[in-house]
Amino acid sequence: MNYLLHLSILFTLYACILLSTSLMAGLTNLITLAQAAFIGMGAYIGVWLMKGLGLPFILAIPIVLILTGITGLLLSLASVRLKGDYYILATIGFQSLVFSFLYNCDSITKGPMGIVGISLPSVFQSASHSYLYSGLVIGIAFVVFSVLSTLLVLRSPFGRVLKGIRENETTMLTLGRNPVTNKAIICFISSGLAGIAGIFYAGYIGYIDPTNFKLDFSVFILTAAIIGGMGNLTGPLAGSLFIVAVPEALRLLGLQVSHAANIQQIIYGLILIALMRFRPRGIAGEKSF
Amino acid sequence: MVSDIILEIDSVSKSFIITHNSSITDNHLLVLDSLDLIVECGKITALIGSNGAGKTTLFNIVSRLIDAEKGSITLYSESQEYNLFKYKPHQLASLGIGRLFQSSHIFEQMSIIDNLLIGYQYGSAEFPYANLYIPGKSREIDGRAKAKALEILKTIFGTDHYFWKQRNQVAGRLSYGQKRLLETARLMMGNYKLMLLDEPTAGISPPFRIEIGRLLEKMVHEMGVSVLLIEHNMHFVREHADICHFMHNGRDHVFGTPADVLGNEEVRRMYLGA
Repeated sequence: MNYLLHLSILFTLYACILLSTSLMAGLTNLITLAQAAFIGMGAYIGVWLMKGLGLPFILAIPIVLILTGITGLLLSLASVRLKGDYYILATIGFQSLVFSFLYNCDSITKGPMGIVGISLPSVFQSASHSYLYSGLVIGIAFVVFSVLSTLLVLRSPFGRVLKGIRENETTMLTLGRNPVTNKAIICFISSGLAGIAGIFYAGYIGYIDPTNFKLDFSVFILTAAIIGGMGNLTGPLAGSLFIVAVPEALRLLGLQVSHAANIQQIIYGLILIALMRFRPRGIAGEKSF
Repeated sequence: MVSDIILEIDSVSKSFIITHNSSITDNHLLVLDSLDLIVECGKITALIGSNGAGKTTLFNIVSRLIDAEKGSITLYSESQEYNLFKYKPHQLASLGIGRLFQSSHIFEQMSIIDNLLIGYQYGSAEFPYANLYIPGKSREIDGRAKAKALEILKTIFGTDHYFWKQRNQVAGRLSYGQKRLLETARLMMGNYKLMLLDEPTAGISPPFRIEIGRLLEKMVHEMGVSVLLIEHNMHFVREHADICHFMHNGRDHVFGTPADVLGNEEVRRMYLGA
């Protein structure tokens, strides 16, 4: 039971992260490799607010959302001059910068030692497995918030503008829309949602250190978002299910312990290649005409 | 200000660097050479000329997508003068300038109806989460936009037309002619006073050419829009344009009525090949 609860909480965590990634990369083509940095910022700021300032979890969430959102907005301004691959490089630079800060400013972040003793608020005081049940309830609340935030963008005139910018920025300019402003706004929302996923991550795992938020985590997030499909609601949820369920399913193959990890990685890689070959828009990506 | 003029182009020049080779002293290609041109209110003004004459460059300068080296462009609208060089490209739509590009610029992943709706100026209803903090206004504006889009589809194309029947299907499935027609119809969603149409009939079959001509006439005569039109189809120019300018080497070489310009000996020799 605990195992299933843990997997369900991981699903909610990844769903929040992938929904935030899909909003930015899926709706405006701003491919980012800095999402782990925003999750890390959210985690560290959240922990500082809760442990340092004694704020309750519920109050730390909007502050984290705004601070990481503003940082994302500022990073998006780089897209004014940097397009495509060059913007991705800029996000890698930002990712490295945040990691270096978290790793080296140990007076603030405790550096590689990390921060321990973080916890989520308890929702069920009396129930057995209360920590996991609380985690699941909070995780579901985070997913509901992220889903509603995404849905309200997707089904609004603002979402239509973002899709237009994704297809043709020049046409959108002549139709009276400013791509820079609209991209900045969606980056604010996306980074803010990634930030609050970070505070949930910190609370659930109970420990954070800078190596949790490295570039390889950003690559993993982007890969998962592409696997699921972007620019809609179901893609990120499908991607989250895939990255949680498939590795666990591979563990049921009954492989020899000495080879299991490597073979599982090979099979996982082959599944990814096959997915990209046969469903290049992801498991549940936007339909192509 | 002259009341029957909507756009005044005054001594606009533009050149492009053709090589970075420092051994070449004159490495600039002059595309627009102190061009003067006016667009009259409520008329279709056609620009004709060979490829490279500077027509699309002029459109890009008027649309503020590129900068001119010198000169000025003034828009006269509702008793006001607007120096276009002070505006950014995305601000021109609110001044009343619409643009149709040379190739299809339809949003292929969007539905036909969404392609029309995106042409509507939503204003504050387009802010993120507007339906949460201004729900009434947001619903009202969205309702107005949808009503206008449906009205265009119904009254201009009719309920038997493909656009009406397939309005919720993605526009990427349309033929090139249908895309150009939809793009032209999208301009009717905005409150434009001046439309810059860059070869609306290029690469499309005669029935669609007739349809686009019909839309053009409707825009000018029923909606009071002024049109600056780049066109290589001389039948279309003869049929629809009120004034015609022949551009050559970045200058307004000959102008007058389409019949006069197309019958001009120089134009025939330099451009029409007859």
